[in-house]
Amino acid sequence: MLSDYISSVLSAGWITFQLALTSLALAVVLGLAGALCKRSEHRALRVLAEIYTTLVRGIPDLVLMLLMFYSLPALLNQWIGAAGGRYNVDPSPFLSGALTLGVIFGAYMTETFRGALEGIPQGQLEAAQAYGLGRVKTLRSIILPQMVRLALPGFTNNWLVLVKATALVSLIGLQDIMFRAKGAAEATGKPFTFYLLAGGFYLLIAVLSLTLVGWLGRRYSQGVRELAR
Amino acid sequence: MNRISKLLFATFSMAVATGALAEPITIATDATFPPFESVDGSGKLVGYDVELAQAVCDAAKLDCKIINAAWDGMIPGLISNKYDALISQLTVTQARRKILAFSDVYDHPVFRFVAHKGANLTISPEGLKGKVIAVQTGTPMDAYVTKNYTQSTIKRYDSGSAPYLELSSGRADVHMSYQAQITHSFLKGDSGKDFELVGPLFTGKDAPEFGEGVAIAINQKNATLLKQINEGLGEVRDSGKLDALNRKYFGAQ
Repeated sequence: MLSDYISSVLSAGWITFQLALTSLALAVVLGLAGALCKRSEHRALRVLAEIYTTLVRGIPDLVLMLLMFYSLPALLNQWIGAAGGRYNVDPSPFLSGALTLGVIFGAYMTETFRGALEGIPQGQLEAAQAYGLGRVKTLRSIILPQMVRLALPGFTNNWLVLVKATALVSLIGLQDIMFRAKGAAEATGKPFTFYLLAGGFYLLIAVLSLTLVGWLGRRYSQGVRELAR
Repeated sequence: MNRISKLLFATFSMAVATGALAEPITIATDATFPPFESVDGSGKLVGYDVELAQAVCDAAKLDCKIINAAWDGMIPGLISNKYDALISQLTVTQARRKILAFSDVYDHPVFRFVAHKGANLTISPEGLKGKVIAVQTGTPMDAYVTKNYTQSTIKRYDSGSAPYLELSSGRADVHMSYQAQITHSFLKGDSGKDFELVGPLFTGKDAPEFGEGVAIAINQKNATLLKQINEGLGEVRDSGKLDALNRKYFGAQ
């Protein structure tokens, strides 16, 4: 009986993991775009990115999530109805959750990536220019690889917080590991068993992530370590 | 990356599909309150309310999908049309009538206090003066003790099971809940063997906080569904199915 509940809770871990990865992908894209905007020569882009990070980081995650799941679709449907359309926007909890977390963590990633960009010595860019590399080539071969090393610690922090923030999505009905853990805890009257199980799952993701990031970190700082020796 | 974009696409097209087609009636329940609503080991919804909702849908010939939702998102979900109806031991109160439509009342729950055997407590505001009362937040029991037991310390918990941990560990003297829930979730188990129901039986007649009974909530704009559910409920009552359900879950009352 108990083992049925345990496997039901653990199988929901896959949903949590999928949600975290989808949100992360969106957050990285938004973060890169945001960071490049913040370092742009165009004032409009800088202001836009500033508004984005200030707004998103200033509003509680839960409020954004509820707005995105309940209010935004209602507003869109109103507009569509007013325009004479018949399309009904009704995003699933997974989609709303991934979008919300992606937008929230995109703002944090923007700041992480911006810091990393600023950490790359100006001389690198000048050298790239001297070699006649184009803008795209410079970004891909000179800036991004060095940025990875500088952004990795902040990125890791954001990822670990993001994984745990996925539990918020259970509030809008996504059957993730926290949602199932609560259901099992209440059905069996054994809250510690199931919350510890869920806690163990998050911890496992954290440990695996840190191992992977440690390896990445060593890989991307190879050039630097050799210089320092 | 390809996997993720596929995943994104799949969830999006799913959202589009459910939005575009004529869909079944979605009934949400917060399955964390046995024996009324909870999940079994395989994740299936079980309990009094779940069986009743299914019987009502069958009687009214409605195609229903009963889903597990989180309590905090249920009323916003109903108002924004994510769910068509809610069944979760929802007490009918004047405040809720302002934002929700209710079906006919299907049950008048009995509320009780539970305490350690031999604790010799007098269940009255004076008798519980200085004692610790545990309740689940936002429930009729919470509203009732908050109003009447002003000289007691009231501890509120998010979940239905937490007050029992407090009782067992001695950090609370009494707990108030649905009698059926106390019996099912606590007294029947090992940890509840030293505890007993105490004091009088309370129902909606004893205090306004206990409400007019429990009913199915429906969006106020959906008069058609309200009528269908009431007809279904009437049939379940007339055919004796409701009595059978009451006997199965609450015994003879």
